[in-house]
Amino acid sequence: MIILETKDLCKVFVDGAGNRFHALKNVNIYAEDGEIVGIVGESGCGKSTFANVIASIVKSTSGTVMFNNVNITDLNNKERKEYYKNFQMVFQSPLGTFSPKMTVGRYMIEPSLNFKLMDKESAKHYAKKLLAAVRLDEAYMKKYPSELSGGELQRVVIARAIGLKPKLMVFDECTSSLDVSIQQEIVNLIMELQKKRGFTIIFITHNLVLAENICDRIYVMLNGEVVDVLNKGNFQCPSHPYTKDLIGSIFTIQAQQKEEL
Amino acid sequence: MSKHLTVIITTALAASIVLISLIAPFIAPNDPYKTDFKSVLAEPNDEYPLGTDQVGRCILSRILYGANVSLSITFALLSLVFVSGVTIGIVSGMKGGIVDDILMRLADIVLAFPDIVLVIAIVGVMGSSVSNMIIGLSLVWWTKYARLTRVSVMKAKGNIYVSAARMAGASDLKLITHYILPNIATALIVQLVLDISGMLLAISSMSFLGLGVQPPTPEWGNMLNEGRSYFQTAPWLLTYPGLAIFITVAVFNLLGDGVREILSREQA
Repeated sequence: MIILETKDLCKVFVDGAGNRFHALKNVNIYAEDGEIVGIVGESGCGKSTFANVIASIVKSTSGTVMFNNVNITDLNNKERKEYYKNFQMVFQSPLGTFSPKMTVGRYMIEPSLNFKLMDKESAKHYAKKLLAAVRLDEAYMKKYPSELSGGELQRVVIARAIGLKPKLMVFDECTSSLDVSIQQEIVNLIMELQKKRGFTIIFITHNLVLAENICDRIYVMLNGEVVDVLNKGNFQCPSHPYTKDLIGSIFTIQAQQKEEL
Repeated sequence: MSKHLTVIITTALAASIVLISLIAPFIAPNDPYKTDFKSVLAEPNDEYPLGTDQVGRCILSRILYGANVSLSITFALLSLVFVSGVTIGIVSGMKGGIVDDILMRLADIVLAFPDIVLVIAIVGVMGSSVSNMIIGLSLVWWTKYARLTRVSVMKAKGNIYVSAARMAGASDLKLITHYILPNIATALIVQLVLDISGMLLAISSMSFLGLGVQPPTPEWGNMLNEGRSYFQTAPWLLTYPGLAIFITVAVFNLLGDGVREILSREQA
């Protein structure tokens, strides 16, 4: 079953001087239930704009977004709130996702209270359980975001997101600002949670190797267009020259290392 | 550490000024309204520590009661403009579009005039009284807070944590009270503390011009005005109310500076 599908999605930004910038050009991407879909591309290729459009943060210029066979292209505040029960997103900047004046505990119980899912006490209890699921202990509830490392913050964000039991989660460059070793931990955590809970993932990254390791299908974007689709099993058979370049760049580094050895 | 010390000292001084104004009726040596025609324009002496004015009223008592009048009007006015200005700023910053345009053009119109001149004009038209002065000053002063709040709200709105808050189901009201206000409060509080002295001066100026607190109610500004003609023969009529204004304004200014210093460092 297809959970998310975009049809000819376009986004044009117009600046003050009237210059038009096409951030998305006829993007057609779909994700089936339980799939891990990767979107790979260089900076400025429209990956994050795509994420913001399907997250209903930015309005698209034309095209449609279907979620569970419901058109979610243009939502009002109430419908959007309803949508977020099934859709959660993890942003690139761990610290930016937190209000500096709000404790982790308060951050964690917000969704339960805002969606009126439970009272404050059980929300706190639930928050502690969620933190345990991402391997953080209760002591973090009282801390402020500035006291946590990037990896810990990203765990908290993931914990809150899974708390709502969303059907679809978008990870927008969620490991890019972390150390390499922490990146691995976070990716492993995401994979583990996905196996347990079975949500669909759209994983946005500029790291093709990472995407190849975890994704069932990879869309390669360039200048706002999807230029290539790689399916699991034949990641090495690109059709577009840009994808060839991307894959080629990985191999040359490895080849050089071998020569040096 | 030394900065903290200055703030502690100025806070203590400011608190004592407020305290004095509150207990004025108990510490004043004489009735501030009682005229004593036997000692008109008397020099400072045992009975009247700071002398008497042209109708023989005790200057010290009038200054103490005046503190009460000046400070209570100042704080009342500040709370009024703070609440209304911040509310308007939030509405403007959150809504944007035509609502924002209308509110900010209104603010621009007010800001186009030198502020005290506009207040004088408003009170001049409506007649001089304390309530009209309060209306005039608040009509002018709200713009400061509205603009500051609007800019801060718009800046805060662009943060990712606002998108994240939406994703956690936060309504507009929740977004304002839980996310935006706590993050812009520092700037607003600093502005509020810095404005205490400005507001006090504005009220005294209006009273000095006869447009604010009316005699015989003691107020520092109108005491200065009444004493004006005795500048050469009985300088204490001017000196002591002037000193009272000077000290109070200086203390609250220093307090504002200290608070700004500490809060902005905390935020960095």
